[in-house]
Amino acid sequence: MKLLAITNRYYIISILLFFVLAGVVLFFSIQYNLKEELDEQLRTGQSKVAKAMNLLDSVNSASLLLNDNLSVEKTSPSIYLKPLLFDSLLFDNVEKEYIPYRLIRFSAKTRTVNYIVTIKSSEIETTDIVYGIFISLMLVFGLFSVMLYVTNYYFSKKLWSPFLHTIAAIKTLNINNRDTQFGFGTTYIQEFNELNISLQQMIERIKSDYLRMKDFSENASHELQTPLTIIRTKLERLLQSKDLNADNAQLINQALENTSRLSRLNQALLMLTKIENRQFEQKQKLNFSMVFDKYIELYEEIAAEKELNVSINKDEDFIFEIHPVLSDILVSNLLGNAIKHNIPKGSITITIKKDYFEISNSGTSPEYPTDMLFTRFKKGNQSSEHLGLGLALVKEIADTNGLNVSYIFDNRQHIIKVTNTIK
Amino acid sequence: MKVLVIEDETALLQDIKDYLESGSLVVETASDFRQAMLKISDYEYDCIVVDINLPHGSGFDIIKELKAQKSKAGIIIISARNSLDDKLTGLNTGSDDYLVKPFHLSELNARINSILRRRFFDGNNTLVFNEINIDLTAQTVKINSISLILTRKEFDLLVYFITNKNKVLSQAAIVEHLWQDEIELVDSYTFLYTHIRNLRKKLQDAGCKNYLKSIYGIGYKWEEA
Repeated sequence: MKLLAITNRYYIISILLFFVLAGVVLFFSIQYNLKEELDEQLRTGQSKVAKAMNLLDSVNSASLLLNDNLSVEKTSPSIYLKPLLFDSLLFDNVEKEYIPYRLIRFSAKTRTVNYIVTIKSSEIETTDIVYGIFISLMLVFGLFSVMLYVTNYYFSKKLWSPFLHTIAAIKTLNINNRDTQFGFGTTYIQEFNELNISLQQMIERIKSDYLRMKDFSENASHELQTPLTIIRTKLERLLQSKDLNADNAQLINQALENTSRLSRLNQALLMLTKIENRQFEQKQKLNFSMVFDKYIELYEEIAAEKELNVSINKDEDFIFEIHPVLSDILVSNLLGNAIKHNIPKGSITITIKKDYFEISNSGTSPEYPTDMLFTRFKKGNQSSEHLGLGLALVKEIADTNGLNVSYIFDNRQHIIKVTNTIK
Repeated sequence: MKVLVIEDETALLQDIKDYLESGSLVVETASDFRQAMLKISDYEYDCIVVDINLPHGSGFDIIKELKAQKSKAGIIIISARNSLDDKLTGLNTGSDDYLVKPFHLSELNARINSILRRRFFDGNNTLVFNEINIDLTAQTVKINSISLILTRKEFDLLVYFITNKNKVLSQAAIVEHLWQDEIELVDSYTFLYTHIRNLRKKLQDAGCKNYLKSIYGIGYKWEEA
């Protein structure tokens, strides 16, 4: 999720929460205040009425007609009511409906008679006022939040833009290239400037370490080849000498054979290092059907000697972007394994589809857990001539290029499937 | 035929010189860039074997100099660098072949002889050994006057043996010569054994003497009877 989207999301959630809370508090506080005000008015009315009645002998009911909010009732002198405030729904004759009222009822007396007085006041106006104030306040709030949201959005966008710029610069970075300089630029934001400077320093350090390590591993393995060549030529010369007995000749021959193995091991490890170091980044779109065709032709003779039946099923094309050296290693190793670990008169079936290709070959069941298959130096027969690096190379190529390799043994068939994981 | 070998490892240089000289080649050596440049300006060689990393300079510059001189010499690069890029650079400078270290001396010898035959016997690229007559252009073999039909591998084997006659050739060297890049696929030496048995039989049936000696546990030797 994008940083801006996350800030926006939290922003919106907090505004909504605030809105609900503020709405509730506002509503009730306005309502409470207005009610208090109403009660205050009613109490004022009460004291006025009480004072006025004190001056009278009795209440003239005609005078009450002028004010229909006031009603009086005679009672016996013994009854005394404490002033009571309460709500009630009363029927309005004009509007022909029930309307909420706030009422106050209390005992009051003239010079001679005791009365119970009720003063009522319609709550309709208060409710209208509450809603009016509430809505206009909410509108102001809403407008305010929208404005805050918009400014926040643009400010964040502007503030984070150097950061996004830095990320873009890191993405295009290729430390493999000796000549590239990494410039992250400068911004007016101090923190990002510091980030850029430390990144720059870190990358320079990584780059120099990386290049040194790369040079070292390449040089080391090249330097190994020369003494190996000397050992080999010396042994070959020794093999030519006339007065060599059969036993000694065999010892020399075994040493000689191991120089070949050592050399191939060295080459394969160098290749693994190069793939790990991502030295094959110049990718091109390749049709794997063609790579398979090439290696099937190349291995035709060897397959024929083992009397293997090789068939290829390519009604669809597997097209993938990869360095041609890597596609060659991938296909030649997989096809090579299918030939090598096959049984005489066995079969190899290659199926090519749009999103994957599959190589299955007949063979005996695996000699070790199949999840170890792709680890280096794992091989069925530890003393065999083979290096045990073929599938490690395949795995490494797959991992660094967005392919997935899987293996199953089913129905006496070894099946390796390579799937495109880049959609 | 005169060959110049340019290689800074003197131990290796001596072995190459001895091996090639025991064939029919005349070998001169140079162990650094300056010495090599002197020798190529002094004398015209038929084939030059050059290492790329040399003291005081690069083998590529020697090849450039040879091309500038319009030298007719065949050029073989021997290098520890095995990447495709290195090979392409090598071949693009105008060298005829690129051999990766470590190589077998018999392989170097075979490649030098192949280049020499292609360069200097054009039209008549044949290899003769007593009653055996090999036409390398047409890829045909005659024993006396009897034509022999050989497979690719049998043909390669025969040429390789004759080019490295009187030498003990280990099975490893022969297998590497025949299968090169597919070497990892060849299980053991049974493949080789089949090919050699077939070749032997075909030669024998055509009335050829048995020149090919098996050396138990090691390999083979093509010997003049």
